Amino acid sequence: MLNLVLRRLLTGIPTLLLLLTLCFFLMRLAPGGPFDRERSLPPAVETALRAEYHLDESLWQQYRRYLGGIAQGDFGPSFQYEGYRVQELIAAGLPVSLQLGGAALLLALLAGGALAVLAVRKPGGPLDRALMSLTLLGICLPNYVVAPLLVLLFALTLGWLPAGGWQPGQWRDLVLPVAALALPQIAYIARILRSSLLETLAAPYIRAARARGLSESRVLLVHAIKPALLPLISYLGPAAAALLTGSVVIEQVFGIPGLGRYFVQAALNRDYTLVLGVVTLYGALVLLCNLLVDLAYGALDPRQRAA
Amino acid sequence: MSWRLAAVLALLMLSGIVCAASENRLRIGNNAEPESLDPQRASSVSALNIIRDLDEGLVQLDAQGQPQPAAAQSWQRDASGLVYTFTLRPSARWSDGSALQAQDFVAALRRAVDPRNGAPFAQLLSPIAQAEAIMAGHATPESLGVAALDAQQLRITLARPTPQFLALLAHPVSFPLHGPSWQRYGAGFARAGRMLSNGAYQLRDWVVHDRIELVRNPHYWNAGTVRIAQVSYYAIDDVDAELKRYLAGELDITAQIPLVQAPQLRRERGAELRLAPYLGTYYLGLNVRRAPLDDPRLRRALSLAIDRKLIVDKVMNGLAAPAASWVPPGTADYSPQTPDWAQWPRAQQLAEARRLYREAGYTSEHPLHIELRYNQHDDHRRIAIVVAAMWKQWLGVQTQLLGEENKVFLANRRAGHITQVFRASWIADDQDAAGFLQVLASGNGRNDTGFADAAYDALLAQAAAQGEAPSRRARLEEAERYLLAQQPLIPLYFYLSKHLLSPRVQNWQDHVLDYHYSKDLWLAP
Amino acid sequence: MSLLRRLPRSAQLALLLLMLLALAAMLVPLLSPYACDQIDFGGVWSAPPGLQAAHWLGTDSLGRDLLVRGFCGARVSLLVGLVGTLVALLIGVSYGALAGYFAGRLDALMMRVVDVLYALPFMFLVIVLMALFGRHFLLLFVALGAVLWLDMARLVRGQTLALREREFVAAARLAGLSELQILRRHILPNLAGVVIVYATLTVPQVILVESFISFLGLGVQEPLTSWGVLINDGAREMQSSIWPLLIPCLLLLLTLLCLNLIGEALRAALEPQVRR
Repeated sequence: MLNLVLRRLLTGIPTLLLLLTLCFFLMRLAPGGPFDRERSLPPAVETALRAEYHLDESLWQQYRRYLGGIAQGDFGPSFQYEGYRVQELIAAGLPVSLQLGGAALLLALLAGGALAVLAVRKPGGPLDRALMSLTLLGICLPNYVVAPLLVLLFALTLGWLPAGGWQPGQWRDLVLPVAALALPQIAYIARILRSSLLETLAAPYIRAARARGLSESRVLLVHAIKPALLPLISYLGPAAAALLTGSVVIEQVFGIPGLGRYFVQAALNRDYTLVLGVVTLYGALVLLCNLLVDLAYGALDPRQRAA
Repeated sequence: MSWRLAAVLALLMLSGIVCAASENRLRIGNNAEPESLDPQRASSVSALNIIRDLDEGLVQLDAQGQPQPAAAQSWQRDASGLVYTFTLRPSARWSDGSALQAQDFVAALRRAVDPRNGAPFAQLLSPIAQAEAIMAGHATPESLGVAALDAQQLRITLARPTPQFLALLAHPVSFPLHGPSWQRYGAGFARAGRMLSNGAYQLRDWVVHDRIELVRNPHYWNAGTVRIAQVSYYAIDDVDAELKRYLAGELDITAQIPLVQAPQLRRERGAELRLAPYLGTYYLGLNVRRAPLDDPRLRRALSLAIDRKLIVDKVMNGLAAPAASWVPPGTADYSPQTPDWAQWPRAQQLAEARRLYREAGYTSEHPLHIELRYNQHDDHRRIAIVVAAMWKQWLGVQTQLLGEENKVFLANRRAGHITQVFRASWIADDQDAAGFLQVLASGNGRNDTGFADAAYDALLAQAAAQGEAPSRRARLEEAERYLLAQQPLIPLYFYLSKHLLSPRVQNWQDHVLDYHYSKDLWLAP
Repeated sequence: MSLLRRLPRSAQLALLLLMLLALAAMLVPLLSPYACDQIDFGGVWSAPPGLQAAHWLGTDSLGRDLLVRGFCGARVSLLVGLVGTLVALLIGVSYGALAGYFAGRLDALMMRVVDVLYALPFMFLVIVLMALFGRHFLLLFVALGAVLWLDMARLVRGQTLALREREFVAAARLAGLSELQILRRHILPNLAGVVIVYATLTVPQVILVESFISFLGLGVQEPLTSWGVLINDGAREMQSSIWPLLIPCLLLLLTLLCLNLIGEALRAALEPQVRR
């Protein structure tokens, strides 16, 4: 077990390096540079800026300089936010995104799980159908529609919650963004869990358990849930990584200083170092989540453990 | 039990709302996250807004755009008109209490013109003696025509007589530099916990992508008159999100107004809507280097076919003013040069457009095929769609719309190899009409149309040679008339500054450059 | 055909609806007096729906007919969904089957590549591709498919790993069939069930991803439009008029509902086969 974890962490390093290299060169292929602005800079100024950020060196030199920096824990200066290092920006945004994404993940798991358990009580029954149609709505409504609707309703019409903003420790700031972030996840989780629950409930050993006269909720929550969690867990791996690194839409609508906006804006602004910083972070998180998924699989599925 | 919980919650919420509204804090929506608060390095409008609250130049502009004493209490001009001597206020201080000295201005100006420092607005300082040579790398920054005579006396020598020179000193590029901070932190000096400022406010907190908090600077020479204790600038680039936060009472001033919501806002919040002329022109640039737009007849036809009033009324929803000329109204010492056709009835405009279109060799069988590029933004896209529809409807032009990712668009527009028609805008740095006209001078780095016309350049050169003489104005006006006849660009609308302003904000004054110093405002209790 | 008959009534109805929708997407823009991008300069902009009015479903804030635009959007969105899914299938199935069938070192290597691509933030890739290739219509599909094949590859690989241990594969090998022949004749047909079910789930995913790209303003180029573009435009003006948002949303919802019903039914109909 420990061996597996160590091995996976070690193989993760070359994977990340590969990822980093791929992105470094891919990014430079895109036309336009960090200093192209609506109001273009005088050539002398642009030359000075390029020299300041070492963009005048060869690509290979820049690559080496960048890797050298990383080896010392420095992800370089941001091109867009002057005077900030990439790691400073990430260190500021990551806790916010973790908090928001973590809360949304928790909510999605609880609510999605509850919906799935409710739905499988009578498969094909009216409640099941109603819930599943509802989840479909949750999946197909893009969050850039849902989020403003939530603001309109709860902030502007009812006046219960703020329309945006982020003050550390203010739970009211969290409610709407967490809800908007969790909504599609609730729907996905409910659907995945429902279908895998149905499949497990058809298995012989469940029929045996029922035959022994165990109550339906005991069958469901004790015997069926464990194997039924497997497909959900493999879904949750990448989903958790995405949630925890923030969502550009939610952050934009609610004015939250998380990481999500960096993914899009850094790429749009050709903020090369910041792009690479968030890509590395995201990659590391995905690898970590995958590792956790595999560990969970092992814990839940005895066959896998033997293999 | 549960109703008690509900009551406590309700109380908590209420207290939150009440707190937000009654405290002496101004909450400003400020568009995009500022890229820097370094006066010499900042370039975006949102950054410059904040810097004008933090730092103070030798002068500041009043609501009429007239320079008023600020860090300098007075100044003299010698007989030649080329040498200014400024006297700083003895009570002027940095926010740590240390004295503001003439040397701080010298350091700032030298830093700005030194090309190694990459100051985006350095060119504004070109009237100062030696500035152009330094910017070109031919002279050392120390040779700049700026000298500290003593701690309080600053002398600036100009290369040539320059109208509007004093107004340039209200621009952040000429704001003072606290030398020790710069030496200690380098480019990162303008951050919370490091930055010293000499204006009415000082930087307290900077949360990237959220807000920048300023608090009153107790060492400001005029601190007694500053009434708002705290100013929060929120970085909200999503215009819809900004409006929602304003409507929820979380902002006092917005930076923008969503176009599609304007009619509704006018009905429901008419009194809070502040629209005022703003020195900026939105236009379609025409790449005159390449066929088919090298033909002035075609350029004119395309311009005449556009119904600007319709664009302003229905697309901009009244948040702009129709533009038939290049220099917007409101520049100093200049009259707007409206061309004749702007007064014609629409039918006559269209008839003339069709005549020119035919003359240029296009018919309904052989229509013009043209590409219209814009950077991907909702407002640009909507305007491009309508312009293309007008060209199609009234001339039969087949327009291909190309919405490009922003940086791709900027790179293409600048290179000019593949562009035909492209969206652009120009926002003034000062109130001088020459700033607009210079954009189209041949060889100007911002002239993306490729327009290069010796006669036009000559008119501009003649105007510059007039110094501050009244004849300068006539030359400039002639240059614009000439430009409009050549039509290397199609002006669509003049900008308006557009804000929603909470009724509790007092003493707000409209300004053609959209400068609003927080120190002049106060909040109704 | 027999498969179709085995499906429950609701799924058959969904299929019919979907076909009707596709037909309408083809015909409505052809038959309507208005073109997709035509601005009614004389008419009312932001007009509400009304059967007596010139525009049955009203106009958007630029005076364009909402009915026609809804179905013009359907053309692009359905096409994006189909082509994107096809590309994802093509790459995903062949990649996954190869990796799973040959297993061992090749598998490890191929899955390492998948890991790297998985770790690449999707939006970053889309933005760079858009910047690189411009906003070409077809490229959008390819980019989407090229991103969405990863899940498919993983799924297929897992299935193939299990299949290759089965008796019939060993039998085929003994009968002297080449590896590729086995792959084609015995492995791929047995993957069909999983693949079809997964494909019906990928189509809506592609449509939704396209709508997110449109949110960033990098979706299809004017005058083409898609449901994503329409919903995004509609969301901006929903406070002044709800119709520009409602119409594409309903169409999208209907499509997703149909696809989902079909997918579920297919899964129910096909899975026992796979198990057998």
